Amino acid sequence: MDFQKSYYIIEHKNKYEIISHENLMALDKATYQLIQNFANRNEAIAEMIRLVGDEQEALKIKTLKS
Amino acid sequence: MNNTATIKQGFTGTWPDILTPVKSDLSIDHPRLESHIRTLFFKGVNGVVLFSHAGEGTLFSFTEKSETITGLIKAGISPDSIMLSITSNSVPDSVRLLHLAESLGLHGVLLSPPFYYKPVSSDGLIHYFDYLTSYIKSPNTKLYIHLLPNSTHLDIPQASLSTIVDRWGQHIYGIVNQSEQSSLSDDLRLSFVDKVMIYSCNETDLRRLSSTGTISLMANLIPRVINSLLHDQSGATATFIPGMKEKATVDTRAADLQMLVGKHPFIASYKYLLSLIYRDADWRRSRPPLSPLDRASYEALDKNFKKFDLQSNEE
Repeated sequence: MDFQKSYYIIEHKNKYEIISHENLMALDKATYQLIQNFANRNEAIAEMIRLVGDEQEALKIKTLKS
Repeated sequence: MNNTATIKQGFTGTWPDILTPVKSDLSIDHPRLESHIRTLFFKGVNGVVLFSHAGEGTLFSFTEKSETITGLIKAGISPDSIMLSITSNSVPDSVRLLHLAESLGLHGVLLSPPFYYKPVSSDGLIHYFDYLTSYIKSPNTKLYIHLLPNSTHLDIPQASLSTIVDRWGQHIYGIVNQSEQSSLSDDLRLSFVDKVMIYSCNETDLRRLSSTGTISLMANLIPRVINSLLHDQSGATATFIPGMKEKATVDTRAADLQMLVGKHPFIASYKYLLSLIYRDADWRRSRPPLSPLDRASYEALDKNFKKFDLQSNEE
């Protein structure tokens, strides 16, 4: 499988990031957590929107409870 | 150990028994499936098994399977790194799936006999394999006989297996033991040492058996641990878990994960754990009659998975 043109969502420094294959290879493996690989940037962005939306929703619920 | 010098080499390495994500309308969620498979390949798996036991294979139609596999190939997944499981109770459907695998150039098929009617005789089982294999079109088609008696409640006696292997040996590249009996893999290796590869799906047996390949449910979650179980025969690979005095060996990690899922329904449990890794609750859905876990099971799994403390070098 060709990963060269693919994108990744990672958790890096306590936030989600979209990163290209080339840039991921340059990162120290110990500094990030890989979430998922996507065939292109658009798919990664769609997933990023979902992830951030879910986090906002969870935070809203937590705030309402406290 | 199999006599690998004299028998045909089947698949090697880690082949996850892929979980199948479904959308809210219970159709297959193609983008989630593709992303899951891409992620696993990036983490080092060698191939994927689709629509097998963990993949809820009996619950999806021929058309759904065909569209899914065709889509994955279009998306860049190499056909020779895909194995299709055939678990249909309809013989014509099994033949269609076999021809689909052949026409798309898949690595091979994982074949278990129909298991609705029981008991079946040895003659009946042999007849089924005779019938199906008579439809093989390509001399290169690879078949793996799938033993999963815990789910099918159907044993294929070793004498029947022997007859099937003798008759269709040119196509049979392996026998895959997905029973919970570790000793069955040992028995099969003794019986088929010079004939066919024996594969175990029990991750905690892999190093003991010096396995060269496995179809693994756990590989959906911890592919790197499963890779180490296959490739590090010394068992020296170990992971530092914060708070633990000694590093945990890969054998321990696999056994701990097996224990963690324990008595919970396994497909729902693995989907739940995958939903935690991907932070995506949609992964928890299954196609009926399977259902998500109840709240108490979620809480128990949550608590134990936190204790398990999955490390990024294991995923």
